[in-house]
Amino acid sequence: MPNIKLQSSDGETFEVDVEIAKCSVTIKTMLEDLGMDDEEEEVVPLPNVNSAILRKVIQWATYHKDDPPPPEDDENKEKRTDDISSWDADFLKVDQGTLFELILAANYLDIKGLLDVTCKTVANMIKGKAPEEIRKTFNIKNDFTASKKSRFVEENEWCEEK
Amino acid sequence: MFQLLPFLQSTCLFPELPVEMWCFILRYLDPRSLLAGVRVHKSWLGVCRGDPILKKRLRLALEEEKTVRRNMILDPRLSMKISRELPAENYRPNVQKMVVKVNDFGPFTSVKEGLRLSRKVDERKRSTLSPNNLPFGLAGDSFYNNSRLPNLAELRFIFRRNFKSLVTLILQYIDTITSDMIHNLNRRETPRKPADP
Repeated sequence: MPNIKLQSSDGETFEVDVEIAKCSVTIKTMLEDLGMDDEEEEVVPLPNVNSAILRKVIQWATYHKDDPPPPEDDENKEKRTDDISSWDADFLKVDQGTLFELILAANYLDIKGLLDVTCKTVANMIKGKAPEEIRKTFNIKNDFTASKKSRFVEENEWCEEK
Repeated sequence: MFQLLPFLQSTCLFPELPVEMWCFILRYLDPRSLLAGVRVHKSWLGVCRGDPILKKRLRLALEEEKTVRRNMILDPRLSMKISRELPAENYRPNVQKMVVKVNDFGPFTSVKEGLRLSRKVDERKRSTLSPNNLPFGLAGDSFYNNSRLPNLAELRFIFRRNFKSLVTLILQYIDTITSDMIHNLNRRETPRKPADP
């Protein structure tokens, strides 16, 4: 099996199987565009991903390498959030900062499965909660200023029936 | 990042993700959670405004909320649920009756108003929303934070300014009355001590 070298933003190099790296559509397209030269020892730089996050992404991709491609989803339908596998749930028991960085990395590398599962995790943090609880969960500060209070009537018009 | 520098998290207003990522996440929510989420932060409201699907879903959620509230006006019993624990033994006086509110969407009907007031509730711990100091700013800024009920001339003015806000006002009034009622019901019925054998 040919290997490929991925370099994170802080300079650490990871050697992974090409098949695993091809989970990422970004890397897959890049390899297809450049042509596959197995003998060349090229390092692929990933300037948007640091080593800790890249390690987690590779761990996820290694586990999910045999998964079938996710089906195309209908945008108008409300999607389920409770179908996270137990391995993924354990994998995503991280702090919020790491979770958001994982979302960004999945988006950059274009890994649909990982993006789905991380976004579902965040959605589950919001689901079924009152505004105050959500604010507590995400540690959102009170940024209300008194000068804005009279403008809400016209600002609310947009969501009324037309 | 937050593990190493915990103070960053306290200064961070909001988790920084690009708009399209939030859009992706918010699409996983059901209408009611979406409505609650939109009332948390302005940037989510912005995301929902820009996305036709989220906008549609949000409108549905508002409609649902309005319907529930309309039904509550017509039948106030819908807004509370009365339960009573079963007595542990025969020939014992009733145990305490529990009255809880159901369908608690919060006392607000518009997104922006909910956004504003839910922050305010945060600050004042909800206790200020008594019938005596309802925010009459609902109708116009000149009545904002008035501590008395409006007289007829003011009401007429409010009515002329904005019919919808008057409805909001009435709904909010009903909401506070029912919570008072619930409070009284719960207080009045304190459990009596069982008689000594």
